[in-house]
Amino acid sequence: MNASDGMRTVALRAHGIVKSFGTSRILDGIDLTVTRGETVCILGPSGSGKSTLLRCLNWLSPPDEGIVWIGGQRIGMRENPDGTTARCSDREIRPQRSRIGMVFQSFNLWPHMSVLENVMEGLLSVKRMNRLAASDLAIEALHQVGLGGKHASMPMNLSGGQQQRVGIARTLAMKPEIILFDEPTSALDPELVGEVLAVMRGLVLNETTMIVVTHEIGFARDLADRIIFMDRGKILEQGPPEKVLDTPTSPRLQQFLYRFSQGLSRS
Amino acid sequence: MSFDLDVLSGHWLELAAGFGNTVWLCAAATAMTSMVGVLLTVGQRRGGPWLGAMIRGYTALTLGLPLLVLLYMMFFVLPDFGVLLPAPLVGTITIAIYYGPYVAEVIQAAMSAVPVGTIEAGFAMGMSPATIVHRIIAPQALPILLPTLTGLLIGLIKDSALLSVISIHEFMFAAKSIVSETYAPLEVYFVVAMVYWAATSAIHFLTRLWERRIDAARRDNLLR
Repeated sequence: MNASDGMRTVALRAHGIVKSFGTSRILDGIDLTVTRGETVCILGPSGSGKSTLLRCLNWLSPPDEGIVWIGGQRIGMRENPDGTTARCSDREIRPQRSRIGMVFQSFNLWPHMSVLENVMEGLLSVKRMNRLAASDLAIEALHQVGLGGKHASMPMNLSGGQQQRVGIARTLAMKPEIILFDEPTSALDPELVGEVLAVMRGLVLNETTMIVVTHEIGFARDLADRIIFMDRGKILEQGPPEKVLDTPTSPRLQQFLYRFSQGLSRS
Repeated sequence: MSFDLDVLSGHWLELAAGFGNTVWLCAAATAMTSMVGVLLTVGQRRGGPWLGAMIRGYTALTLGLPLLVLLYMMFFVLPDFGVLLPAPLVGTITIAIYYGPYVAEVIQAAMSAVPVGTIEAGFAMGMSPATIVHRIIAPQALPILLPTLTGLLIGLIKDSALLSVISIHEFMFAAKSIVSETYAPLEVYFVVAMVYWAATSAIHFLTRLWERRIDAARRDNLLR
């Protein structure tokens, strides 16, 4: 899990990502490289552009400027032989998106489908697998998140922690090259956070490539290969957890960590 | 005052023919209404600001007008502008114009009841828009849509009786002409009322059945 290992290949690379909504510049030139098997945690105050960055990476919200590559392939834009670029059609973007998994803050399970169907759906309708192969993969993914026995339940009958684990299984089953976690534990009751983090810990140990936007500093410290601190649409600091968390150089990160420790001691 | 259905003896066929006309008029009107409803929804969602504003204006206008007024305007005013259409066509078009915005509102409401995040999850996974409509939006919107649409359909059938005032030979028109011959309004309108009631109740019942089947299909999916 050493990110500086020269043998590692690049899973995802982003260069010069800029995104504005109206007049406010949410992302202001983000460069990011994630190597295969690496776990990158993104910290930052709310409104710093963390979630928007994830949504730019899988083109859910296409950036205004900048380039994203997944495993060497450019996303969202086609490079013509004559050197010009053109926007990909929706039909071209879809297979690119299916290579990037996403886990949402509010789970976003499909409430009309059972747990098993939720996990199978992408395999059936995107990967065009047959039902048998899809259900095998789905069951396997559900076991991986510790919910093998819940395949027949409906999402609304599960706890928030279980729903989020289904959300993770749904993504895992697609066997993406990288998984983007958008504050996966922020919508959970405190006592349910642990079970989701435990599943994610398992993914880290499996060398799953992931980018995790989180407020769980403990998780980031223990499991991230690298922590990125974002503020006002820019990456202010990044590096190994000990360096970023223990010897922050920028005043804004110092302030952020101080406020965070205050919040923890109060609760 | 006596009640004797025998006064209708020579008129059953006429009544039946009138009812037959009502059935196909309602079927045609329903098809046209659905089309208008879907077009308005798509226009509102996908069209530019101008189209959206026009649709909103049209919706506000028709929602504020009685159907009878609209019917008279279409039937008596359009010919002044040289548009001379057969009465059944004017009638069904008017119903579609009148009910279309209601259908559009119902579709919009059902679609906005579908959580955006569930749609986004589909896009993030690489689903096509058609798959998202079919697998994610429709199954969530349909159970909300179905009862309200049934209510509109029943309203449409009841309102189709108004078409008799522009001399369309439907059920109510037949009833009126039989009454003028037999002078037996009690028996005739009793039969007419029972038939309308039976027809709308049947639709109500069938929708219930369909809803139950959707629920059952969902349960079957669980067991699979």
